[in-house]
Amino acid sequence: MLTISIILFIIILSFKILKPVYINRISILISIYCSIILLTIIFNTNVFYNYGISIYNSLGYISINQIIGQLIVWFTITLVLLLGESGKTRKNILRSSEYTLIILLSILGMNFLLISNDLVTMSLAIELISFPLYISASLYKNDEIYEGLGFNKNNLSGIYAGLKYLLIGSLGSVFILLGSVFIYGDTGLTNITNIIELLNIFNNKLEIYKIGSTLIIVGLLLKLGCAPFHNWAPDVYDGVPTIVTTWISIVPKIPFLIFLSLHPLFIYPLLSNLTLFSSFCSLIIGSIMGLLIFRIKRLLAYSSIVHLGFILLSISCIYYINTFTTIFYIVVYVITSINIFFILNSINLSKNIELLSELKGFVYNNKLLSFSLIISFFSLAGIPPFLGFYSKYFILLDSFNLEYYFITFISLLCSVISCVYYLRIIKIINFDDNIYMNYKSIHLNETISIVISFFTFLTLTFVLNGNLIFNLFNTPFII
Amino acid sequence: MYTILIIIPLISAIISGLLGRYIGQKGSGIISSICIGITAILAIISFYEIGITGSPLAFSYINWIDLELLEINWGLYLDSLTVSMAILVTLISTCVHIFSIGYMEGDPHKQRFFSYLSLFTFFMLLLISADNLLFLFIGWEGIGICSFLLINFWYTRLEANKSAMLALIMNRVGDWSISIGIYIIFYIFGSISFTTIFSVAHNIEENTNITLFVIPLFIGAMAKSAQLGLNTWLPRAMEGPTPVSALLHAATMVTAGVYLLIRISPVLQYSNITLTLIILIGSISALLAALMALTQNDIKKIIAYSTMSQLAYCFIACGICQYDIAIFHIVNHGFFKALLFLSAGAILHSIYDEQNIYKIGGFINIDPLIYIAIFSGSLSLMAFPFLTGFYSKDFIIAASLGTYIYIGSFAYWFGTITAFLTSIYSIKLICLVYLIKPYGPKKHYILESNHSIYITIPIIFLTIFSIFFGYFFKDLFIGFGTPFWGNSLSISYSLNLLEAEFSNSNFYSLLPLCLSLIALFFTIFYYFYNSEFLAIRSTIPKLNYFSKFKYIFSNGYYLDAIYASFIIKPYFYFSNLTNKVLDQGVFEFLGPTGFIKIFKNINISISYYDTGIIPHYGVYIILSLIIFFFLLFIKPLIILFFVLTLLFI
Repeated sequence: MLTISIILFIIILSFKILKPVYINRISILISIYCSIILLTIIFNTNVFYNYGISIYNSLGYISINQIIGQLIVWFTITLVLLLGESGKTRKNILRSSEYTLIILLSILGMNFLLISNDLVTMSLAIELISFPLYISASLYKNDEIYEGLGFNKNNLSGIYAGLKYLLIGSLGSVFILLGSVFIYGDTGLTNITNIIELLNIFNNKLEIYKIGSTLIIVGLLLKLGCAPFHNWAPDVYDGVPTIVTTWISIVPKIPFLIFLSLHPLFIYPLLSNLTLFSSFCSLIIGSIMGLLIFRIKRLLAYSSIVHLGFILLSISCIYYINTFTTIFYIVVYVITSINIFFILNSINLSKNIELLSELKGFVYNNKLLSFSLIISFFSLAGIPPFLGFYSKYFILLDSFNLEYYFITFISLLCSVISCVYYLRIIKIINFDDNIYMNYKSIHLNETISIVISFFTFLTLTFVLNGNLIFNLFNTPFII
Repeated sequence: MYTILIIIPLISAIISGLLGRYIGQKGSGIISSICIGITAILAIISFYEIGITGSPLAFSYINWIDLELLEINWGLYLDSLTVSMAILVTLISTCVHIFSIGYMEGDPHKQRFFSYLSLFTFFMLLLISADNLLFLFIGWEGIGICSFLLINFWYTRLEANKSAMLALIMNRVGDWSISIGIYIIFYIFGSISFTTIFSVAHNIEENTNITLFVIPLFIGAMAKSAQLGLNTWLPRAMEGPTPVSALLHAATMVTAGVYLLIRISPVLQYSNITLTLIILIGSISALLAALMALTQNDIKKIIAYSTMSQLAYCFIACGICQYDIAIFHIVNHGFFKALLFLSAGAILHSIYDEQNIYKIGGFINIDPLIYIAIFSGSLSLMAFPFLTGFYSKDFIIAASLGTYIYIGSFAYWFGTITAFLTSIYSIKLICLVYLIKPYGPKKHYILESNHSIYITIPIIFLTIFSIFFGYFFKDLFIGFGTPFWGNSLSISYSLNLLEAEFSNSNFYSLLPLCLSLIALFFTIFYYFYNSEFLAIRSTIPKLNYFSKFKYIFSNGYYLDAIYASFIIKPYFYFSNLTNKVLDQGVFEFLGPTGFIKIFKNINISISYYDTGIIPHYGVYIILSLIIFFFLLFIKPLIILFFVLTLLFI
């Protein structure tokens, strides 16, 4: 039902009946509508408890977990689309009809991926997610008219980044397809439920299946930008405009991660070594490589690699633990990084920043905004009273309880090391010799400031009554 | 009512401290005195309600800490022990407040002074009414801080600063020890509420687990009550104003240590080792404190050392498990010691703070009222029959003999000798200040020695108490089979009391008293015929060698010097060593500097591969894929090792 409504909407868009300004608002309203529908499904029906429903001739499968994943995706999309309402009214790429069209296509793919229960649907959905991303990365180049959207000084960096994204991403798609072929060749099946039944019968002794499964995992990790396959991520995130980085660095990760955590098929105990290894590499590389970086989006890319390491750590344990830990970490990471990107975008309105050193003396320009930025970075670093600490804490607790002592210790260390570069930013904002008033003071509109203040407030006050949110999350996860 | 009883001193402190500007100098004194007076009246009412009618009560206001492991309520636990201490604290605090109005006349910081005094009273009430160890500890810390503030009241004086810091640091030792005790109690019992601890104490393994936490608590009590080893702060604390010495360092604050021991008596009971230790420490500090008091010239220090010696009696009483006598002696001692201090303050006030007793003399005709007060106080202190001190102190000495254990007779002999020395220095003080001919400068004597009404009223009041209190309350506090204490103390109605009363031979019972009387007459003779004694002494040249011992006593056994050379100097040397060698050397190299180097190198070696060229990335991805295939078949740690070595190359 949801997906059909999206398709209809896309068709409407393609006729260019409406002005681009209204298109953005309509898509925001639609995403809010979808979120509300999903929320009502979660809280008002008992249908999905303990079992799910096969749909589309068992190409798809819906249970409460899928619904929650879709909810998170729609929630994030709402927030990202809200960015289009910031500052500039003219020449805002988020309000152009083609950009929204591309985004909505990608969203369609995400919803398909979450509910897909077949190798074919999975590959198709992944392609549907990826292609709009490649296009949106290289769609716009720096021009005089696009001021305040965070374009790089280098005119062609967006196009380079888009090309890089396309080529590496295609490699990932190839791996996924090849893996599907191996699995099909070994078992003769494409339906995931059937494959699981077969595996139970053969008692996990299908060697070629293992290779295929490995290939699929590698493809997914490649799409996510996890460590041994991470090289493209900093380049791409740094090259594209900030407003596109917000999109491509946060939203596509959510369906991939939730898909991985919902299908233990690919990471059944023998294969969890792969995700563990990837988690280890992500933690190490993300935390160490971020130390000497001086470009702000590149730094955020490495920080996202560290967080991916944490999420992969919890996904490796997913066979034994509640999905709650993983989902909670994803939500917290999304909230915090969206807050950071909102703030960066609002700085961009008055001055285009690329380097960390351009944040010098930011605290003298806008005290509250810099306060929110500092709180968000503290939360990312996992400093205790803030929100980010708890998500990290739960994952470490789980992995410690499962006696993964080595990786727990490593993740603790990496968390400490990655603190260094978060704290470096905070130092630059507060204490470095300021070139303040070098850019004119920032004025936010209501939408942006409400979002920023709400998330900062949530980050700050979670410690006071965290049970409220835990209960909200825990009730659907009785399974 | 009980809430108001505790809150009023705090309100008084806030009014005179924060609103002192508006109520003025005189106003702050009067308002805080009235507040504390109301508290005293309420304390007397609660003494009747809780103590005499025998209805202890416990209630809690709010839940303060609620973890799964630990639950702490803000609550009060009021029983006979609490109210006995409460009347002591509030009555003396009232006297001291009123006295201070007269004594601090002309001081520019009266408001601050009264604020501190009231705050102290509040914390003391908090300490005695707490229903768990944490709140007791809050009160304990609070009175420590108030002590620091009050000793340092004249903060422009260097000596005052030094003494205040010494007091605070010495008390920190005790606080540290008590906090460790609390942790151990929490570990063993899983709770720090008194009721829980006392109810399950009999199930805990005796002599090991209980000793484990009772000894830290005892060390804390030692520090607060200035027992041997941790006593050096008490005489130095006399730098503060005299009312402060009367309130804190004689009558109430120093009794907190003994109060703690009495409060935990149901547990203390089970640890024989600790009881023995308490008797030992108590006896020795009683004797040594008396010896120190004998050789002091400073009128306030004499009284301070006598405080230490009297508290040691209380420790002895705790050690022989006669807690009711201990609390009785605390209350009695509070009254007569406050009297002594206030009287001394009155003298000092009229003679320009000349504290050397050899420079006063002959005040009996000038200041008869204070003479009467100080004389009755001293007689009470040396347990002259039928005065207040007699009923408790003499009884402690007798009861310690009645235990029939070797450590008891040890305490008996030490106590007896101490009683003998006590009368010597008390009478010495009276002789030198009042009886012998004047030695002071002329200006001391041409003063009109009219004390203001604020000074005389508390002194008269306390004189009456220190004469009659013991007589009236003896049966209530320590009478045989008295129902007053209820469950608040662990009273074993063994035969100790009967033994002490009846079975000791008359010789031993009367010995302390006789020795005191002998000392009294001997000292008076000595000072009235001083020249003859000196003449006799000069004929025995070898006596001079013995008189050199005097310096050991008068310098407090050089404890300060011992601490300085054996603890503080090595400590500073060690801290210098750790700072230079460890902190700025090894840790600096292994820590920040080394880590920065290592991570920089790793970073550079990894980012060498980060070329930005797409075919290179493809190669890395294929290589990683191959590693992943290996991971399927080989143990992951080997791969890790392999990759790490690759990285570092």
